[in-house]
Amino acid sequence: MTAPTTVAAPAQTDAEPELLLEAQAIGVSFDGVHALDDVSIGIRSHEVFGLIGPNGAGKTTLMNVLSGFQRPTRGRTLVNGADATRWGPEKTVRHGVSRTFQAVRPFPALTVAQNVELGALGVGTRRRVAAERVDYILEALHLSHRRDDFAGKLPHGEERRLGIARALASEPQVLLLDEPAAGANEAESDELVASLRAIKAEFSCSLVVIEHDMRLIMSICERIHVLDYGRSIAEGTPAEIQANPAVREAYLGQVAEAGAGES
Amino acid sequence: MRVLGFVRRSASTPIILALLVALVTIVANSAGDASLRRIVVGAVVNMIAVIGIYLFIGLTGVFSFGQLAFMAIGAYATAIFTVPVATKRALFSAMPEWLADINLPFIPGILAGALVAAVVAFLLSFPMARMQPLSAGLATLAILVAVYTVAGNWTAVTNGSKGMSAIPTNTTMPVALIAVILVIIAVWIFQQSGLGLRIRATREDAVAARAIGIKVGRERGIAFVASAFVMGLAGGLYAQLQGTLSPDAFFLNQTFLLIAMLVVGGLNSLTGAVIGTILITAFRRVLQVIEAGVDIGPLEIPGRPGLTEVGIGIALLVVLALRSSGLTRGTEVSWDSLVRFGKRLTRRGTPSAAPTAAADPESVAGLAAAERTTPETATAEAVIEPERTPGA
Amino acid sequence: MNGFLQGVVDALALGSLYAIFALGIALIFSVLKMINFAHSELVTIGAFVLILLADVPLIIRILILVVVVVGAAVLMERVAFRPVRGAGQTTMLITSFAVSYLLQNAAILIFGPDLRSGSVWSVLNESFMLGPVRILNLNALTIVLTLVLLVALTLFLRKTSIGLQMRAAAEDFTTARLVGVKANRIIAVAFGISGLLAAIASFLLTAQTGVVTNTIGVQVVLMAFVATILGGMGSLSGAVIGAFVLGAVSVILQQLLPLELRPFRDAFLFAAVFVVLVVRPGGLIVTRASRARV
Ligand SMILES: Nc1ncnc2c1ncn2[C@@H]1O[C@H](COP(=O)(O)OP(=O)(O)OP(=O)(O)O)[C@@H](O)[C@H]1O
Ligand SMILES: [Mg+2]
Repeated sequence: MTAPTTVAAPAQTDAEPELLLEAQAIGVSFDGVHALDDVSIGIRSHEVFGLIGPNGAGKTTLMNVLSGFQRPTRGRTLVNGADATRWGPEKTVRHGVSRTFQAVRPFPALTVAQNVELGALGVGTRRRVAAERVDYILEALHLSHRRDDFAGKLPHGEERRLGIARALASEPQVLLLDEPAAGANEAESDELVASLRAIKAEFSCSLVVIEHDMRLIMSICERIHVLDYGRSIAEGTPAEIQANPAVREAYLGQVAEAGAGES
Repeated sequence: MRVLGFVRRSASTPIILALLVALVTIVANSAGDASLRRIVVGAVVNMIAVIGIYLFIGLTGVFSFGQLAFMAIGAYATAIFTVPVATKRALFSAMPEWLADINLPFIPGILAGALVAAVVAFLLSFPMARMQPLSAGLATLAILVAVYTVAGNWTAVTNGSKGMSAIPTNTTMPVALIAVILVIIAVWIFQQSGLGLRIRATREDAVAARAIGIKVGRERGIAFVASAFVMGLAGGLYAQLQGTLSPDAFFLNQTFLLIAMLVVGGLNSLTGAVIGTILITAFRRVLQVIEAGVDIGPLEIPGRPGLTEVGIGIALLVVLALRSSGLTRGTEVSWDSLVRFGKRLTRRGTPSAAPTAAADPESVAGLAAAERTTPETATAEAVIEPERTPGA
Repeated sequence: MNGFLQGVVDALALGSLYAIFALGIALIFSVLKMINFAHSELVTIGAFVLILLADVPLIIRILILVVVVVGAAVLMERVAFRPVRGAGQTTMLITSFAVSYLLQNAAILIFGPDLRSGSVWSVLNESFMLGPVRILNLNALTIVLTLVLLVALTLFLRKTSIGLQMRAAAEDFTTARLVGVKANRIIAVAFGISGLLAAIASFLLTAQTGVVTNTIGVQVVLMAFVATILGGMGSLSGAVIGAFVLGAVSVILQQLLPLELRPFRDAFLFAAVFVVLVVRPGGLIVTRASRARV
């Protein structure tokens, strides 16, 4: 039953061929409240794509849509040009779109190695192949020393890295990361930037990163998309985004506020 | 040397458990009289059933009250397959010809009985997979009641409330012991396999499991069928131990007893299933002796029916309140863990195991802990079925 | 036609009885996310009170009944359920199963295994004619009581402060706590109300059977579980609707099934529930609280 992880041949239709993952005019509403309204993004191969916006802007909801967890009320999603709107997460990840969670959601009573192995087993990878992948990925995310520990016992930073490792084990083309640096201090966040760059190079996949940590976003993203109240307000290079007055007004101001409140 | 390393790392658990079971069984068996010996064999059969329950509840985290329905199916099927044709004709005159004509030897009969249970579970697993875990758990209660009702009334096949009799009795101590050891080994291999890991992942976090491609409903279904097969096996052995069957043997009281064994040992480990069965069986034996009435010197305690059950109920409540994840706390015994335990004992520390936050019910954190486990078991499915999310 | 009307009355009466049971279970579920198996033992306790005190004047007996059963419900929560409140849904479910089993057998330990009989209120076993339909007083009382209870419970949940807090808690306990809802109080009150419902249920049940055994509550509570699943876990109105659907289906099956299949009625009933759950996995009414987010 477990389908091989072949990737659907790109259907050369109206879609732009080089886009691995697309959201087209997505709308999502919960009990009449619009969490997303007419949002479109396209992920190119080998790029790091940032998704930012204030709390409640709809970033996670968009990620849920892209990963098949949330069926949009309007619009459609494409994976390699194929319509993926009705796929569900199980099929989406088999077609090369993998994700992490804002709350990490590890398998606490399983070991770190088992967690990562499951990332491969889940999409139907053979046991032997999966086991080899585990060593490699644990190494890449500096988790080798934790191999046989229960995932539920990891400190916060390592837990987040485990989330990334598990998502990476399916060898995705696009890796969706929901706030990978949440709770990290400056040094950890720098380390994460290095890891993400290494992942992008070694696993040759695209990254979609949701983050509130602007330093991280600005330093690794090639393009950034900004959401506010469920709507797209800007998209561009880090420099363009930083210079964009609408973004400054809607977003950066609020971050400053929130930052002031926290400290 | 490499073989030894493998055994130590990967295979020590089933070996230790098998040795433990064999030891306890043989000691109890040689210490007691004929009646105790019978109890011991019965306990071994119970252990297989507890392991069967563990296979579903323990691996998937979905609770079920209904697994004994499959034990009943296995028991009745085995009985029907193995009672000699002539006896069936004489005793169960209402039985249809084709059924009465079936006659299988002991082991094929038991395997066929278990297979029948597994097939029924397979058919039920499709609707079950669609339900939210909590509803599914209660739906299993519906299965239990339905099977109980059918067993008690379908005179043509089960002989109704009169029950079956004249079943050949081949479940001896060695047979039961070999069976339980085989089951322990098989279940261990199953839970360490890729499939077993995937099933356990659905227990840990169904949402995260879906995100990495695991088909949660399907994996739960497989565990359900595997569990039903083992339950059916236990049922067949039970039929061949007792020689008679009645529907009451597979209803709520027995369900409670077996679940108590599993919970006391620890729901989430095979070791828990084995140890829980041993402990509760021993405790129950003691209570039964007291219930029958004892004289301790001048103190004379008269027999009180109900005492055994009350005692087990209290024991379970105490374990739930003080150590809700059971004695093993979801960890498996292994060579390494025994060594560690030994070292600790010599250093006089309290042994502690897997990660469980003892939650103070009054603190907000305690409630948050409850919240954290609650939505993902009861409701995670709903989230994700997006059709239902907008405007239900 | 008369047969049909008679059937409707029977179905209403049975559905009402199930509803009183199901409400008690759904109420606890809504605040605690726990299925209270031991609800049946609250009913059993009530039944013992009624039968053992058969000589005491009715009013006093009812007073004692309410005090004892409500007390037992609150005590049960305090002693058995509070210690496991943080330990997860499965643990709470097993705990309630254990409490149920314990009390069932404690009844044997205390009162012995024999069945006891006694009359609750003989008037209830008489009947009157409403047009062409003969109605048992007990059935009339059951239906009326259920209606009264539904209205009272609705008013309580909508109009009183504690009722509103209870609804907030049912939606989202964590948030409710943040705005000052006191968990212990809410849960204790919920148990108290479920005790009251159990007391009423035991009165109606015992009036019907005239006997008490240690498992008198179990059969009906099994049905009530099914009703709550059918209605959608955690929804009070769902539980009531589920109960009436179940009552109706039982009566229909009882009338339509050929004689030789009647003993299998419960099996058919549970099979039907299964089918409903396949078509609507969340039950008939899906509450907001039963949905969650990624
Ligand atoms: N399942 C749901 N049901 C109802 N409302 C929801 C659901 N999921 C999200 N929302 C709402 O949709 C909006 C967007 O939420 P989302 O989680 O996508 O925000 P976000 O940008 O990820 O915020 P944060 O930075 O805080 O993670 C919020 O107002 C949220 O309350
Ligand atoms: Mg978010």
